[in-house]
Amino acid sequence: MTTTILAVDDSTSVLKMVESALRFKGYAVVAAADGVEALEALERDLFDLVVLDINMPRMDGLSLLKTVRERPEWASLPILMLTTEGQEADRDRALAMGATDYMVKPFKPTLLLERVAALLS
Amino acid sequence: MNEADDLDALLLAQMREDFLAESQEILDRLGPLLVQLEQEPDAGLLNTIFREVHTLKGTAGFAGFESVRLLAHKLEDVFGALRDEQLAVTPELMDTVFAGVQSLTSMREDVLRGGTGEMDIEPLVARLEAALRGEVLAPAPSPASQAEQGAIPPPASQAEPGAAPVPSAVESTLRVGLETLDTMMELVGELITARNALLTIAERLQDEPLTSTASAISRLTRELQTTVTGIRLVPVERLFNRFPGVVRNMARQRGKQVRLVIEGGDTPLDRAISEQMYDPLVHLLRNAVDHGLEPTVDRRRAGKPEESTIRLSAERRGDDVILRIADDGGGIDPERVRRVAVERGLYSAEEATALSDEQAIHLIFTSGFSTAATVTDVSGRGVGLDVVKQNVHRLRGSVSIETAIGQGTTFVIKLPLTLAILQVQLVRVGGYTYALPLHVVRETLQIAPDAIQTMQQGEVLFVRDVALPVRRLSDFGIRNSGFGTSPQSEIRNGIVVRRAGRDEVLVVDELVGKQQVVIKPLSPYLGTVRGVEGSAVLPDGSVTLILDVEGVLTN
Repeated sequence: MTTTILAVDDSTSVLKMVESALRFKGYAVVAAADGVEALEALERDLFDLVVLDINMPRMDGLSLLKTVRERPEWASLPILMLTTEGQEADRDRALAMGATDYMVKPFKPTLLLERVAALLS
Repeated sequence: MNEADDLDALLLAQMREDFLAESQEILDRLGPLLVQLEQEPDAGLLNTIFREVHTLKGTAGFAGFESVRLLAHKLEDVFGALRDEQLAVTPELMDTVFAGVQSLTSMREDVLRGGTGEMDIEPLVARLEAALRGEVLAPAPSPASQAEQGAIPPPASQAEPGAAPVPSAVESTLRVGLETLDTMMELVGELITARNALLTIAERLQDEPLTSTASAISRLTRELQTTVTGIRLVPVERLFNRFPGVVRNMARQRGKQVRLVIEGGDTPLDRAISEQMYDPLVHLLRNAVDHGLEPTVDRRRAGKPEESTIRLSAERRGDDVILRIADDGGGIDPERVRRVAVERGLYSAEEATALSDEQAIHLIFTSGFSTAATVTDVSGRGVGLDVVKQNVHRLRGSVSIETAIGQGTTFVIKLPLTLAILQVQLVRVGGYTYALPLHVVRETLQIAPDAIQTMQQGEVLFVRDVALPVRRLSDFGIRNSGFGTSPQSEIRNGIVVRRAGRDEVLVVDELVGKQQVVIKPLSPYLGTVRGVEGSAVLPDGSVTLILDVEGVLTN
C-alpha cells in the first residue's frame, strides 16, 4: 500500500518543495495550507505521517498537534514538526505535546526524506 | 555530484522561483498591514504581521537569500517584541520598519533581475537591534531617500513570470507563460476579424444555414474573447496594496496626517495595464499629498478634520475600469491656475480670461506647469502631471478632474479593461475609411449644410446652445497624403470629442458604424506617424487606420 503523508505549511513555496521531495520518493502527498485544512484532510483520509509547520493562520501547528493527540485514533500518528530559528520555545512545547520529531528550516530536501524514512520504519 | 545532491539542487532551484512569487505576495500584503498597525496597533494584527515576516524569513532561508533572511529575521524579532508588549509602536520605529520592508522589496527585485539579492543592510539591522534593546531611535537618517525608494517603479512585466494569479487549489491550476497568453490574445483578435468578415458575408448571402452558423460562431468567439481576456485580468488590489506604505512615507515627510482609503480592490484589470499604472498613480498620490491637501493649520482654520483622507477607488463600467484618486483638500482654484499660466508665458492675460474654469483647470496637465509655491522633496522633481496624462493616454485611457474649492479634488482615470481589442467609430472622409477609438467619442451629430457658422475665432457649431469649435478631419494631413478632400456638399456628420476639458466637433463626411477591431501596430518601417495609433482589418478585408484624435488635432 502506498504511504500517504499529510504536509502542512502556509508558505506555498515551502509546501511545494516538501511535496515535490516526498512525491519524488514515491509517497502520496496531501497538502494543506493551515491547521483547519489539515484537520479536514485528517478526518477524510488515513495518513502514515504528518509534516507540520508551526506558524500558520487560522489554526497553527501547535493547536493542530494538541487536537490530534487528544484523539485516540491519531495517538500514535508520527508527526514531524518544521521549526525555524528563533522558535526554540515552540519546538520544546511541540515535543512536550507529543510531536515525534522536528526539523529546523532551512533544511536540505534530502535530509527531510531521510528523516521521514526513519520515522516510517 | 551524487543523486541526493542533484535532487537537492533541483528542488531548491524550483524553490527560488517560487520564492519570487511568494515574497511578492507577502510584501504586497505587508504594506497595508503596517499602515494599519501604525494607526491602531492590535494584537491580532501584530500576529498576522509576525507570521507574514516569519514565512518570508523561512522561505528566504531555503532559497539561500541570506540578506533577505537576516533582515526578515530582525523584523520578526521586532514584531514579536511588539506583540509581547516589550516594545511600543512609535513613528521612528515604524520609519525603520518601513525602510526594512523597502529594502526587502529592493532585494527581491534584484533577485528578479538575476542579481544575488544581497545588499548592505547593516545600518538597518543595527537600528532594529537598537530598538530591540529598548533604545529610543533617533529620527531616521534620510527619510527622503526612503520616499524615493517607496516610488521604485515596478519591474517590467516580462521579467516576472513567477507572479501569476495565486493558485488557490494546487491540483486544478496550471502555470502558463505570459507570452502564451499574449499569443492567445492575438489569435482571438484574428478570430474576431475573421468572424466580422463571416458575418458580413452571411448578411449578403441571406442563406439560412449560413446565417445561423455564423451567429453561433459569433457567440462562441465572444465567449472565447471574454475568457481569454479574463485570464489576463488581475484584481487591482495587487496594485493598490503597494500604496499605503508609499502614502504614509510621503505624508510623514510633509508633516500631514493622511488616511488612505482603498475601495473596489477586487475590480479586475489587465495585468499589463495594472503594472503600467503604478507610476502615474504614485504621481497623483504624491500630487494629492503635496498640493491637494492643505497644511494642518489651514484645515483646522477651515473647520475640517485635521486628518485628511485620500480615497483610491476602482470600479468596472462595461468594458472600462474607472480609477479615482479623491482628496478632501482645498480643491483647485481656476483663478490661480490662470494666473500661473500667464506667469509662465503659456497664455496671454486675455486668452487666460477667455478660458472656462474647466479649461483652466485642465491646464495643470500642460507640460512644465506647476502651481506649487515651492519645489518640494515630495513632488518637485520636474515631472509634471503631463507625464501622467501621457502614460494614461498611451494605455488608451483618459484623465479628467473634478474639483470644488474647499472640498477637494478627484482625478478620474478611465482605462480599457484590456489593450488588444478596441471599440471604434468608423468614419468616411474624402472616400477613405478611418477608425476613431470610441472612448474619445462623446456623441455623434448630423450637421445641416448651413449650421456651421464662422465667428471671430473660427468655425463653430451650436450644440444645445453651446458654441463648439469645429475642426474638419479633411483639413488634417497625415504625412503629405492628407485625409482626402471632401466634396463641398450637403449634410455632414460631426463627432463631439473632448480634449483638454472642452468639447470640439470633428466634421466627417459619413458615419459608417461602430465596430470591434483588433489593433495592429503600424509596420515598423513606417515608424510612428503622428495622429495614427495603429491599423485594423475591417470585416470586408480592407485595412483602416486607427486615428489618435489628440495627435491629429495637435498636428
